[in-house]
Amino acid sequence: MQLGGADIANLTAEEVKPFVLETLRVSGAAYREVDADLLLAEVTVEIPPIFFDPPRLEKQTLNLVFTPEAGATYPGAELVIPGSYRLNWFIDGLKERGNYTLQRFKYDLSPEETTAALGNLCPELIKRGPLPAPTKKARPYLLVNYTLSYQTDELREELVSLGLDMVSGEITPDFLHFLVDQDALPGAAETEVETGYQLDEAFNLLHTALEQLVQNRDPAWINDARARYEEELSCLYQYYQEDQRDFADFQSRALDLYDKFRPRVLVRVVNVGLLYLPVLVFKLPEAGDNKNTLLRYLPFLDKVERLGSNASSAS
Amino acid sequence: MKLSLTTDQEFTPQFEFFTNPAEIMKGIHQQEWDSWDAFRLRVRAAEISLFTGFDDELLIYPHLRERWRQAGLVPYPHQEATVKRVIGEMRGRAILADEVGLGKTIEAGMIIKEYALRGLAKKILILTPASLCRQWAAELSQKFALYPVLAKGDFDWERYDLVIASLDLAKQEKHRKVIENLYYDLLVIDEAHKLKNPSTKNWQFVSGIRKKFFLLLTATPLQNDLKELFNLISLLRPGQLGSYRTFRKNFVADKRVAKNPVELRSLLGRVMIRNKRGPQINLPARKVATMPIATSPEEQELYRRVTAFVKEEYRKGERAAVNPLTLLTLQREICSSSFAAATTLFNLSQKADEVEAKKILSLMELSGQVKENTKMNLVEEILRQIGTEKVIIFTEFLATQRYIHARLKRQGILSLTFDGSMSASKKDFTLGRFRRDPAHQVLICTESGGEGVNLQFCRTMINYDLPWNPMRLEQRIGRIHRLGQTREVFIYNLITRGTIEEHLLQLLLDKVRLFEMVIGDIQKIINYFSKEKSLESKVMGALVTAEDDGELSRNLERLGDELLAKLSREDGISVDDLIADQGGSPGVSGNIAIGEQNS
Repeated sequence: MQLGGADIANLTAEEVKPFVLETLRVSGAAYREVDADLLLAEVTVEIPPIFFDPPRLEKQTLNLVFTPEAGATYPGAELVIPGSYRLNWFIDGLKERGNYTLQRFKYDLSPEETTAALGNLCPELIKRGPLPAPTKKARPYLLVNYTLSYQTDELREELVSLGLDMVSGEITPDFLHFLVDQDALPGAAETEVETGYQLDEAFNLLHTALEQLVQNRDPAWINDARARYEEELSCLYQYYQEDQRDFADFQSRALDLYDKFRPRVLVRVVNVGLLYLPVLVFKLPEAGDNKNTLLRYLPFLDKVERLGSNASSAS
Repeated sequence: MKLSLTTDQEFTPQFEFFTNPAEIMKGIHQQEWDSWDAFRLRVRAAEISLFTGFDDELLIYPHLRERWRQAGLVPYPHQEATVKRVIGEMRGRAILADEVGLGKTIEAGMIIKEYALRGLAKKILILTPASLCRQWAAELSQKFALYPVLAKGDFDWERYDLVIASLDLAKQEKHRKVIENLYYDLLVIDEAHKLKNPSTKNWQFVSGIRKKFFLLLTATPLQNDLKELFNLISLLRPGQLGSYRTFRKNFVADKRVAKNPVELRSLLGRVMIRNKRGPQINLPARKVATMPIATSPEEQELYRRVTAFVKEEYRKGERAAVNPLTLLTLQREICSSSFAAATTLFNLSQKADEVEAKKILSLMELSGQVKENTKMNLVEEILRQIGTEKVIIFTEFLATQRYIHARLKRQGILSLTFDGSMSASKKDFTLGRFRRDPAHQVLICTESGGEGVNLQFCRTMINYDLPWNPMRLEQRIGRIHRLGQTREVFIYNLITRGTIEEHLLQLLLDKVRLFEMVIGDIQKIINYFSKEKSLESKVMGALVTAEDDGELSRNLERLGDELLAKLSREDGISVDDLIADQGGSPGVSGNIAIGEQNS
């Protein structure tokens, strides 16, 4: 079955079209916006292996419109709207793309701009005089995007984007959000890379964080399902108990009921990114009692670490 | 302090990781890197595919809006309200008990699609009478973009997520075993009124299927007594009406009379929705014409002698050589056509003793002399008058159907026959041809063939013979007078003068005013008679005890009085009243007649 989620249903034509355009661009398909209504695209379609082994690839030209009104202007064009075959086709197609990425991020602010940004985070630093030139390093982050499905007899899903600092083990929620405006370059870091956690350890930390995140959620979804289950169970019990019906049958039905209502959190990984974010390491002169001379600045996260690599103070 | 039936541990959420970290590590080690843009687009695709809640807004509307626009389907407000109640208040367990023709299948389709879109139903089984499997499949694919598989092979149950099958096929031992081991997100049973007896295989089988959400569809949730109601509701949600012991104590005054109706109605209203025709669900007018026919002297003589034979045998009671049911059939057949009666007479002659056989053979001989039925002249006249309009002719008997077909063919009118013995694919083909091929103007349909079939593209119906059960007449009319019908509907009832049919129709039209009743009232009549004897048996009784037409009239007059007395009786609450007025959806209304009636 071609299914879409609730959010698809709420997409407007103004959102569908950019999504399709971006999908075509990323997939390398040739396309042309004939006018505001009609989009021509040449896509490669895989004729399933059930007919051909190996699957045959075929070029198809799609005439796409995004509103019924545009459909009337271009009869025969395919209407791409929430729930349409073609939109689901694009979404399904994307499941084959972007599952892993390895990126490094550029940092090209001038020393003055850097000083100003740091000054905003730690005003006392500036009072100590001009900052020495930093050493540029790269900090590995593991970015994992998850969908969490909260399932009882109802279902609600959310997308969780967690970024794990592979050096400190600190987890930043909504991590992708911090990188939206940054320039990414494919491949590993070219500067010195800080080291820390291994990948398997990192995943364990992320799973623990997910569990914590769920525990901190409003428990109404569990309590409501529990109340509904108890009502159902009591109803069933009355039917079986008072008429002295088969107890084994009751148990089996009660189990089915429990299975319907019990709270589950289904965790699916959407994709994984191994990202190298710039770190500027400043070696500061000792000032009085302050022996903390090493300062690490993570500009994309607006974060400053002092007292060695594992201690941090962030704003 | 409130006693809890569950422990906190039972309701501590369990994590299920659907992605194996080892797989992810493998992807990383194999360096399956993609671009940053692809990575972000992948997240966007996941984001817009999320199921983000369970609010009041139905997802089917944005998803299916364009499909429905192209198909010309506009769900009625009562259908939308029904879907919202089933999903919201009833948590996916409901009896959809709308009157015939108000779109139960559409409601069920909307619910199935809504659950699928919400990510709550994937494994779905729909059990219907065999004759309706293909119709269901067509409706789901055309109107809901759901593509079910019609179960045939042994492995279909496990292999496919959305399966349609006949109840009879599914309950076969080899299939039953497989189905009972599966867990369905949603089970839908059409024509669920056949599931009222827990000692039947059907009831036990359906009860044994493991399911999360459950829909039962029937236009007649109640027919005979309150216990059947209890059984049907308990199939849906065991305990909704308590145990049978408490149910009987709290709600049963008499087999068919309920106590504490307000409370019972409230309990039923939580699991059952019944939309009725009314101001908010209005259909185009229905015009009913009664066409009396004077038959030929040969036909009259045949009718007179067959009726005399039936009366004579019937009066013998237990000594009769012929089963009373066969006699009833024979009497109905002779009202339909000489050809229908001839078949039964032949069968009777094969079993009868020498004396009886002689009598029957003489009747057969007489029927053989009737070469043409006068009714057909009128049918041809009606067809001439209405031009190229498509027409459905209903008859109860195959022999009559064959005769009508042959006679129309002689007149150069192409017709198609449709009956219960046809395979599903042949039925499909026939209906499709009737609908699309302008050359085939007429569909000749038997009762069993027409069950559940939607023919609202057609607006003219000829009842070649008259069912003695008024509900069956209503079901025939419901094939064309239903949601989706946009034009005035014309019903022609062909009645042979001087026969029991004429008296019966007079009773139903003039005294009981059948065509002005709401279906609930017709159902009341049927229910009333099913308590002791069927209405057909009562009519038969009126016939055989009458010495002449005058007495027959008087007998039927008395029967009419009995019916009217029942309808106006105020002593206690009948089960029909329990579902007559459940409220909650905008389509529900009281006793409001169906459209315009012209007899």
